[in-house]
Amino acid sequence: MLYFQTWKTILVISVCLFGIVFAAPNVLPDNVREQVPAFFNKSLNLGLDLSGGVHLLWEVETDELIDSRLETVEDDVRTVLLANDVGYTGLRVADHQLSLRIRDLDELSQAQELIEELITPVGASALGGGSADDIAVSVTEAGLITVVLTEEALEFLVSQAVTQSIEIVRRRIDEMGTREPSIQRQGRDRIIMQVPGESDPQRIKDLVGTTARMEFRMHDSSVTIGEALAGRVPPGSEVLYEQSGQPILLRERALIDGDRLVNAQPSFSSRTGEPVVTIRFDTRGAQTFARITRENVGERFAIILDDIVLTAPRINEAIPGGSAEISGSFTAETSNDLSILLRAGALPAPLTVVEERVVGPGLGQDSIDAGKKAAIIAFALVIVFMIASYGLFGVYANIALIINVVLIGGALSFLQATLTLPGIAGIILTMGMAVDANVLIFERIREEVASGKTPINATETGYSRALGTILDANITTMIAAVILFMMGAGPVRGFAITLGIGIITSVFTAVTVTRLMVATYLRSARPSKLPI
Amino acid sequence: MLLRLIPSKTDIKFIRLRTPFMIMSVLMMVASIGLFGVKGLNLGIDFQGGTMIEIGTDGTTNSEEIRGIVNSLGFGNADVQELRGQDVLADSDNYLIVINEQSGGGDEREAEQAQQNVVETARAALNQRFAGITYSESDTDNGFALQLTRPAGFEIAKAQEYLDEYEITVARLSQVDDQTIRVNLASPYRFNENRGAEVYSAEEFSAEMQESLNAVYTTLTYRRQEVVGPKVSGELVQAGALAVTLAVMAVFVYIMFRFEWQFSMGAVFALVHDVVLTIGVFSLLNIEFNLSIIAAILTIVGYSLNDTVVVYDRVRENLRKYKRMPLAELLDQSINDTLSRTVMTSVTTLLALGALYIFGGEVIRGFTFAMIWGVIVGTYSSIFIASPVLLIFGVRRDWSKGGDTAPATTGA
Repeated sequence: MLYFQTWKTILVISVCLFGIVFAAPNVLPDNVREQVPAFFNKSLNLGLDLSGGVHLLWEVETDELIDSRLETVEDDVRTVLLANDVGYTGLRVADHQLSLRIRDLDELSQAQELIEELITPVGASALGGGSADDIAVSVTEAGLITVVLTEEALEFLVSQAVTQSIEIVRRRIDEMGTREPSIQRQGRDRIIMQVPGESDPQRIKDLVGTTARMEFRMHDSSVTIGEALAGRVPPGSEVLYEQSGQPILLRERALIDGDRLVNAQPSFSSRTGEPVVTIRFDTRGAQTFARITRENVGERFAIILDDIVLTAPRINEAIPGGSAEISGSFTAETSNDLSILLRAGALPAPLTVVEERVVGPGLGQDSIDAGKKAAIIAFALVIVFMIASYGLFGVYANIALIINVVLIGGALSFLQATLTLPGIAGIILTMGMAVDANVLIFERIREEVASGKTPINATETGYSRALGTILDANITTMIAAVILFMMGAGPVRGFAITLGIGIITSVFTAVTVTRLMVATYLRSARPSKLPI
Repeated sequence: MLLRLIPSKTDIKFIRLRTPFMIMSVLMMVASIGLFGVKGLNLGIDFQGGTMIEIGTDGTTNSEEIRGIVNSLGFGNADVQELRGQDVLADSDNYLIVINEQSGGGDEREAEQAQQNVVETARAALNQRFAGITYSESDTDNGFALQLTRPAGFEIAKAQEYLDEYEITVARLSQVDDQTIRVNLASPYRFNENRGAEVYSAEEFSAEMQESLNAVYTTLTYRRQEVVGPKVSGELVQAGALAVTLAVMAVFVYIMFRFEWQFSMGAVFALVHDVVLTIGVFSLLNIEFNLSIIAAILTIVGYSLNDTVVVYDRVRENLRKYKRMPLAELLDQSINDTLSRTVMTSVTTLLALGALYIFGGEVIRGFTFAMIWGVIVGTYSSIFIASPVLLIFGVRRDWSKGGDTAPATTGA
């Protein structure tokens, strides 16, 4: 155990050197760091609990997603049944299912066939179809047909919605100009968002939590608003409200929606000077917009954002250029935010916050300071205690401990793992436990010395006998760390990473680095009695 | 001479003491389960959902007043508690000087000017006597606050004396206690007139709370805020329980593979003991139980096992060595053989954790406490639970041939 082949010695030393190289950027002054090549120039990633910032966990509202998908199916069913002269009643979407009743039972099987033709494979694309059907049709003898989404379709829908949402949310956040936000998927229908350095979650929540579905709809002047509010809403219309609370009766069908926008910019109205948002349509949108305005001169139309009427101007003349101005009591900031939302596009489904954590910058710095102080004191205590207990061997153990901490720092920097406050606790705990491997070895050596072995022999046996125990003991702790990593989130995960890295580096330093030092000492000093 | 906490040769009859200790452990476990059942845990919002807001104050507020303000908002009763400062040992380095408002003869401009002048004078007076003061300033309701960090040789009495020389009237001159007040509201439900029902409104709660507190106090900082929805908290409870159960099962399998099933039983009994006692002490002392405590418990699981495995390794070695020694005696010998290491490792780990507990700040104090407790009960359980369990289940005595899964290098 005490004989080291040259290549092994070189290997152990180079691992230590690599650790130092990768840990170094954390302590180098900025002007030196600028000259270090990027591969080596990675410093620790501070978690939100240390850097301060906002952590938000969003959930995609699947209910809305299911309903809006079924509403598309509803349209298709209506079209296909009308085209084939099949009479039906009560076509509606409720409780996540589409239902309708066929008037003439003789037409039931025909209707079923027609609706079943609408079934398409989940996720079908030009590259190849999916494997499962997207909807399931069931029929009762009484003529009731119900259509539900299949599990697979739902999964696909949610997964697609999350992916799209992440894309859109990222565009919105990037435009805010915050530094390095991290936006990731979590689980089935969640998005985890971390914005370091931000202490006001409200603006982010406003910007991300808005669906931003924009629609252009026509005003319905067939009845007065008073009649509509009294319950006589014409079919195909609904009452919506302006920001001021003013009700307005609008057609349900959207003439154009936000997908047709190519640009949106905040600006100021040339007439009134108040902040407005200038929007521009793509070619098709521009054509539609020109046609609508031409055909409806004198009528009112409304620009609606998430079911709130932003503005409902009267069309004075046809607008052919494909651009328009949205006014609606904006401030400079709200017109800017709306432009961002419109440029980034609408979310496929509403997002809601299910978890929110905000750490103020003061607390983060306090935690770093406290963590540093605790680490230094813990370090000093362990070092003194080890020297007092094991003398020269204690010094070796301490050198190994220092290398251990450097290696942890290097590994964390290299892997770009996130250092959290519990992570600092993990490092401090590792200091205490890293010593354990050496304690096991040294105690074993003492025993062997007591049983009358020569120094070399005792050290040899001590190391080889302790190795099995060290491995068993650390593998069990590693099991706990791995499970923590898999199950945990955020700071807990940070703890698991440092604990896991700490276990590996502490076994490495204890069984190879100290062994190398002890072996060198024994060979050069040839002591007749071990100083232990 | 080198420090030796434990003499190199001990012969303590641990196994003979097993009955009283086992009884004690069982009683403590029963008490823990009873406490958990009756009193429950002080669950943090991670596990019951709700809002937690931590407010940093300069020590002039008190938690009673804050509780009054928060509870008057109508969101339900909040749990308001004062946390100890960042650092329990050291004195705070911050001082607060509040200088009386200057009237300036009724004119607002002049008053402001007069205020500026008096603050400048105060600064000059203090700078002359003490080197290296850093200031931060703010307006307060009853005057102008000057916060400074303690320079060398600073004393309240001296500072008062210097300010008196310049005839500056001081409303308050005191050391600032770093004080943190934590407001916990399990579920901020409030009756919503539009919807005619109780509505969960964590956002409104934190916004209104900040507004009404800022109206009363001017020097508050919002240090931390967490909102966990009811759905997420339920999942976190599941994930936490699952993590602990998985860890225990994984360990059972690993030890069965490396040793024998009796050892697995012993290790798992010891683990359950440690986890139950940890939950018990959290219930007893009413310490907040949150996500990071689950992490601490899993680390305790790891540590306690570490200890148990070291003893077991020695038991296995001695089983090979002393083929005819009675099992009770053999267990005693194994525990004594490893006692020195057990104590050394516990002490170094406790030293590190102690430093973390005292200096690591209030955010992770609960976490560190759980670890310290875990190291203590983990060490205890590997001696008094894990080993005697082997005596109850018995072990295969002949380890020399067949069925031994351990590689030849093991031992120690």
